[in-house]
Amino acid sequence: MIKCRVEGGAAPAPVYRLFLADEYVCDGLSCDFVQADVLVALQDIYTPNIGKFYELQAGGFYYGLVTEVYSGPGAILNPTNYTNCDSWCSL
Amino acid sequence: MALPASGQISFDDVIIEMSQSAHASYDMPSFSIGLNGLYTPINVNSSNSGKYTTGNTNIALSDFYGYDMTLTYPTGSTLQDLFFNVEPSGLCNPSAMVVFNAGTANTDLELEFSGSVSDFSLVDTAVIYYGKPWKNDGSAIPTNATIIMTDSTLTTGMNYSSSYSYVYNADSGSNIYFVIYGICP
Repeated sequence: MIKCRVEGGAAPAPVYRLFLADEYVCDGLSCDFVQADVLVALQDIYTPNIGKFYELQAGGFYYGLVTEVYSGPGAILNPTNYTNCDSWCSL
Repeated sequence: MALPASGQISFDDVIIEMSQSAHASYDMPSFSIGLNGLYTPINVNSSNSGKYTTGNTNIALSDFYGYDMTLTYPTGSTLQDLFFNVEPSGLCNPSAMVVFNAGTANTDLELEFSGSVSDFSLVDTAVIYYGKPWKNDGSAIPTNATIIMTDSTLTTGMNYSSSYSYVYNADSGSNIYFVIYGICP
């Protein structure tokens, strides 16, 4: 069989927007505050919702977006978000 | 836009989808094999499998249910099959293609087009185009399409592998076409 391939042309590297966020963990029932001013990153194809709560892509922590910033490395978030951090604990 | 998967379809529907051509002839055996020079190549993307005829006799309109001329593969390491959709006793000068969507960002691409002597035994010419390689009447190459590679010396098969500096332009679109043009089987 004749074979054809076009390799490369991969999608460009994702671009992220950075935010300062409040960090929480889930104690099984509700979110417990851990620390403030954690740098997090959300891919720019998603509309960020300041004040809403996102899950760390690697799992384990939840972040309420506070304000956008424009430099520095940030922990990558999943795009799903909730108005109330406790919503993550009931999943 | 693909042909519907069922229900009523017209000759006009089929000829337009099969060939993306304004050619006026309802020459079904010819456009169903992508007769070179009059009609456009048959897109043998795996999602079209079974959605076009495999011969030039006893052709029914329902053979084309669900056929989609515009199907593309993404770029990547996966090798895709390219073949004629005609049986050895089919008409002369078929053409077939697979199409890759290279996106809109300029980048270096690696192109591979390969097969053995027997794979190319019914192939007269193998061509890679950037941009849609036919005019609206099914003939010739539009000015906004370019030939990246052409090979008519296939007596030893082909093992083409080369880099291509892909520069997107809106007139040509984002598709890379691999086309085989056949001899009389």
